[in-house]
Amino acid sequence: MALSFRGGIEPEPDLKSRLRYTSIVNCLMPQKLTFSPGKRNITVSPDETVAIGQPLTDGEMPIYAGISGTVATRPDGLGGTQIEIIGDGLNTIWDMLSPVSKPLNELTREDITTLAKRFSVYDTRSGKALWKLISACKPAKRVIINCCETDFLTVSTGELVIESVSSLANGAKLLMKALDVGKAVFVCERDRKSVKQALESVSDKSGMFVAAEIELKYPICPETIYEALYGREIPCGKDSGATGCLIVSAETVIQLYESFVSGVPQIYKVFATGGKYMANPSIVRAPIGAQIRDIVIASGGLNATCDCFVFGSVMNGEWSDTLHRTVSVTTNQVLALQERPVRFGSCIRCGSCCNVCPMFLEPMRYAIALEKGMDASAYKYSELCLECGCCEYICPANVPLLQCVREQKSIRVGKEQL
Amino acid sequence: MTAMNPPFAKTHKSLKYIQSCAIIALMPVLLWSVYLFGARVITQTLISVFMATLSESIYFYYSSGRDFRLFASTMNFHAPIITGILIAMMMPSSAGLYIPLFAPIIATILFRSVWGGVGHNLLNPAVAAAVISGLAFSKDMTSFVLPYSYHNMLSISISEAYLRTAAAFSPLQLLQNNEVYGGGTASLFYGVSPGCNGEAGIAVLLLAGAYLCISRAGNYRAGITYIASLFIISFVFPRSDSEAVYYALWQVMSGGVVFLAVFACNDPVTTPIRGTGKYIFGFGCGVLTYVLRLFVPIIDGAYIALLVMNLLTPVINKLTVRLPYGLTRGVAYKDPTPKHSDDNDDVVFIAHDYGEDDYPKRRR
Repeated sequence: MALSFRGGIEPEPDLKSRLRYTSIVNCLMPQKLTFSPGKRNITVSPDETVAIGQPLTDGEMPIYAGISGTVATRPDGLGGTQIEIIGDGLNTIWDMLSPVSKPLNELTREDITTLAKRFSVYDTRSGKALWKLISACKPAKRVIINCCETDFLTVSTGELVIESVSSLANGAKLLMKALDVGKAVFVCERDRKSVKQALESVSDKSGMFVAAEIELKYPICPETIYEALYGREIPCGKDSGATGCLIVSAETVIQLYESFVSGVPQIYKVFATGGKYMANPSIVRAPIGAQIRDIVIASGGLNATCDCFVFGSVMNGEWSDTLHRTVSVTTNQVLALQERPVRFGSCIRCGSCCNVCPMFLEPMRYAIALEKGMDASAYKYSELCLECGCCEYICPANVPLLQCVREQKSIRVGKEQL
Repeated sequence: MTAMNPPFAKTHKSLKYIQSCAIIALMPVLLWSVYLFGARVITQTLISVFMATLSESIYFYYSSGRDFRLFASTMNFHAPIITGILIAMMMPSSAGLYIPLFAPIIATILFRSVWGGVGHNLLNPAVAAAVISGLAFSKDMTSFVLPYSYHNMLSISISEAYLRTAAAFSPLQLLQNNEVYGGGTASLFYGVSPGCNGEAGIAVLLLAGAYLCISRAGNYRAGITYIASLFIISFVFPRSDSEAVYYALWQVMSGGVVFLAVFACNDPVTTPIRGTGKYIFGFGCGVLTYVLRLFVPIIDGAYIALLVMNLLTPVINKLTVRLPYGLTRGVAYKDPTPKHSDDNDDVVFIAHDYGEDDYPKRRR
């Protein structure tokens, strides 16, 4: 029996067909990487030559170069500076990279936290720093590893898990060591039998792991995973760490272990490209900071002119009309889709949105308030919304519910700032 | 190019899909009643559907500012068609043709359009119109004829002499008068008994209900609870000397109970939102039907029970409201801190986009 949670949507025939990929493809080394260092100070000077794995900034979680080449800096138009690496095609590796010297089973919690900082390991779903998740998790009870996909279309996480399942198991052991817990739970989807088999092959050997099957539903996020596993809810305003569960994505765990044994920090990201207009849907491993446009062109380009690119899941990804973006830690999927029609409609009070909301909210209230021209703040829970997009997906009357909730959220944020 | 918002996928279960499913589910009921009561049912249905569509269109045309293009692009023709067929199914075949001429106007204008269109009505328009016409034309609406007694499909009202040859009390009328219906349970199940057009064949109605559930256009909860609660109450408190099971079956299978359980309880607009609410709705309908059938002589108590529960739907929705995820009952809700903190560290790797020529470009 697969575990399930309340709310959420089940896939419909048009969404059920997973894209058929072969396996993970390493992308050709891109010509150029671009980074925004944010608050970090740049430690490399322009025209300096850097190698793969060399830090470009300071800070407790520095940015590392993903290709070797020459550094250039330029203003980013927002008052900051961007770092650019123009590749030299040599792929030289920084000679100061070194794996963890201690035996891995002798590492302490502090060691693992420091190393996770040093290798800049981020959770690939939430974009949060792994060491922060680890330190927020107290008292630690369980390590939960999310091997589910971001939506119904992609298979990238599963393929990655199948490919490097032993790294996943070893990374999970590291996290269990860091948190001093005895059990880790792998969560995978019901329809991904091969992933389940791969996970069970690891869990059979040690007995430290449990592979849990979750119903094929959307959204799969820490809140719903926790509810599916334990039947309880994460208290409002708190992260999953407050309940003692460390919920991280499988890719993060694999990255953690591979960084520890190879010494290469998190400089690669695995993501899927797909959608109707993508000529050659594939799972790509690309350096962080690479231009997505170059990667798409290298993997076969587009079928036709396309104005609707989605970065992220088909349900709540970010839209853009161009591919001029860079790969980031949280890039999980790039879709070239058909333009969707503009949605407008008036609420028919059927309550479908209330029944699919994983946070048990009533999105129709916002729609009704907007229709009547009233202030929707009477229904105050907008800050709890995950923006998963289930309500708008299921709405039979075509009401743009997600937009309504987002507007409501921004109104509330504006009020707070005043 | 205007920005687009997620989600980029959409369910196929649109309002039109749900309504088309309801129309498809009504077709076997219509065909069966044509077989039982003759071609006059077709005339009644056609007039009813035509009048419902016409009146709703006219109202919508004028309320949308006499803009024909807006009217044509936004008018929903499925809703009046359903209402029309439902009204025709809720009258006896011997009823005069002025009833399908009059009732749909009441239903679409008074009970839907005036409220603000589909979704804004509190009562089920078809059922409300059936009750009104039952009060206004009580003689037509309560004189039933035997099955297979076919009448002229075009005569405006059937003459007394013809009616007398085929007139019969419906099982429900016998039940309310404490008399005995000799037709047996099987005749009720297949609808070979006097009654309204659509209420006759329980077997066909159950098929239609199964179709609605399989196509996910309807929900079984309210309907099943309705039938079950009425059955149980009648079984526990039988008002007849017959075996309690037969009395309970008679209660459930006579009149409009199953018809309403399949079609009115599946209306997304006038029934409660949540599953618990749907159970309460069905239970309330069952109890009220039993009680009202004791006291209301002319109209089937099931109709009034359903309308009463329609009125109570907002209350039920309020009672069954679910506490949002992560909140505990009794603890006051406080806005969690907004997620966009100053901690820039976490969002460093967020992707930036650049224009091709005017590089670098401001973030969108």
